[in-house]
Amino acid sequence: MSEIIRLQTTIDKEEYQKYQISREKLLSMYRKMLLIRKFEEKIEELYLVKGVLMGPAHLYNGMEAISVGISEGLIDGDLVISNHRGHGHALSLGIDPYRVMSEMFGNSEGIEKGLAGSMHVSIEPSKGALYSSAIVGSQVPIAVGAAYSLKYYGKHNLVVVFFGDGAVTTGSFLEGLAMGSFLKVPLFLVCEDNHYAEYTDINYTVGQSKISKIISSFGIPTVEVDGNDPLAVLKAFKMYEVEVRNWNGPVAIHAYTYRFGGHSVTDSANYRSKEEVESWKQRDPILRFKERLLSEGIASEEELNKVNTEIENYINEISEKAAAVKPLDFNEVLKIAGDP
Amino acid sequence: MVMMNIAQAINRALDEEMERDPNIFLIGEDIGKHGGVHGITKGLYEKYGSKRVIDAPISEIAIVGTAIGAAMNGLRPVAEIMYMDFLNLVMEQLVNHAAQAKFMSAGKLKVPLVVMTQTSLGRQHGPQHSQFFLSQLVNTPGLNVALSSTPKTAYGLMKQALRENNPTIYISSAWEYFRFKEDVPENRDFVIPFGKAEVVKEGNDITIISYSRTVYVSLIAAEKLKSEGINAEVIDMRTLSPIDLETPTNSLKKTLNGIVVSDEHENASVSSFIAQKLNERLFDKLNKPVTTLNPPFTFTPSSPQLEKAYMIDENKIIAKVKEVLNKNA
Repeated sequence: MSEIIRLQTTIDKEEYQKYQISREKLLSMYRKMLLIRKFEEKIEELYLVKGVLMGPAHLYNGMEAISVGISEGLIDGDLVISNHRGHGHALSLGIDPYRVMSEMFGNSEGIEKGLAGSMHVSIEPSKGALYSSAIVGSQVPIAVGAAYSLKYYGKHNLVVVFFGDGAVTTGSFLEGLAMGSFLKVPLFLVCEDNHYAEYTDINYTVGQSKISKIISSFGIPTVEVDGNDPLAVLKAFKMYEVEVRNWNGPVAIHAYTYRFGGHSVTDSANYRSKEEVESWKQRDPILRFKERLLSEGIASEEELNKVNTEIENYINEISEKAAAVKPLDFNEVLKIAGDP
Repeated sequence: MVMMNIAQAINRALDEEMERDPNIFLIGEDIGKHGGVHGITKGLYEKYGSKRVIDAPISEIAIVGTAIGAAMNGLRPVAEIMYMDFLNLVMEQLVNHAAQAKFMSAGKLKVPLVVMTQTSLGRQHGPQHSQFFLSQLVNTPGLNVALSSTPKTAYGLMKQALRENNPTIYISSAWEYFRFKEDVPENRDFVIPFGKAEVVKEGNDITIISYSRTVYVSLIAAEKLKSEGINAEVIDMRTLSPIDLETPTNSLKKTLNGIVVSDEHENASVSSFIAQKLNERLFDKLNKPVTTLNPPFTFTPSSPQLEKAYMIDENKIIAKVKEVLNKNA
């Protein structure tokens, strides 16, 4: 078995220089997390209050720190493979929020032109978002292949694959671990452990503490980290980044987090106790990060409030704009499908 | 022209295309150092090394998943699935990802992947190692389905598959691999375009429409029928997705009688789909509706005698042809 490291620390103020963390970078991370939060809150409103959106939507609020932390470590040419809970991944990678919102409305300006919907908004190869799968676990072998291609081309880029705690019991996931470790591909396996596999507590079927053991038993070093702290996630990534880029094999990050809402937007999540939800809301990644920025004197309350208002206005603007756009002509759909 | 068998033809196609295109790599079980359980990939590991010929763990999902991910990022993988029966393990990857990625990405992603497999029907491999099923593959938009029948088609279809931008399931029959040789063009750019059936033997009395192993068996049957004064036309469909219904339609306009012969089970099969489409087109022109010849709706027995009783052979084809033409022996 490979090592399991329990990362108890984050990137402290004293380490900012070492990790090249500037004030701008901290503010941009805050802005990104808030963008995801406000985006997801707007989606919730459009489903539950206004009733204008349809189909499934798996929201990322509460989990923003993971993809924001990871995306800070990526360089040009790195690739990300996402899953059904992918709005946050897409926005972290800089995919145009208006086009993600348009995909939610199913209009022709959607990032997948309204053909794929909420679970596939993170497919935009020009932004490094190579693929997104809505079949739990199945993206892991695909990520192994994408990482193999980078090594094949002789590039020192890497692939990040996101999956939830529910994926670790799938055959695809386990086969992917076997193949990835055999081929020594440049891959970060990022487990966004939000405690629940759909409606079932992962501790009932597997045990959260077993996830790292399963992964590391394939010879894959695994870092357990506070998934509600973007700098801790980034620190975990940095611990192994060079080894991964140099083809020493995959590394996993097991990030403990919690989704604020249900499995999907229409799930009231009554299988969780109020106390449990409340205790995780105390650890809200955005509030914690805000407190940090204030206490370290990175920004003032006033500045951060301004960011808040800007993002709220922006989200309102793009959702109104997206609501007015028509869907693709159906003949165009047939053309996309049939094009050789 | 070079005389070779199907095993040699596939090997040659892979070798030449790997020489031409450095982005082609192979991944599968025992395909490297051992050259594959049927020798299809013999010599390629020695020539191209472990980077381009990967001896994979027994993880069919990951073999195909890895190939898909690499294809999405510009490589041209060939994933070998040792027996067609094992395709059942990877249908999730094939249907949900290989076939749908282009659609889901609104055309941004391409998956130029070849999944190469074989049916061992006729080799006494029994129920889980002799299956031949096509409906679920042909029923999925976005997958090419190509079936080799002779060394020339084995070569030309593999060449085309390796130059396609969409995923191709390439199916051969191991029963045929070393059974006979045929002249294969020397031209390295010889390809068989997808979606184009071929009249492999001309005749006027009846059209036998087939694909894969049963094309070869149909040709033997047609030869024997000739001595009885029946001149059958034989059509090799070559690909079932895309499918060419024009070639059999034109043939039937001439012969007015037709059968579709296939190793698939009849129920909801591609063979009955072909018959139905042809009957729709030619309803009032044919002597009789086009019908099908398939093995019974059960699995392949492993006993050599029972397997023989189960399988389609030239005698069953001859009997069916005579039945259609009302010429009882």
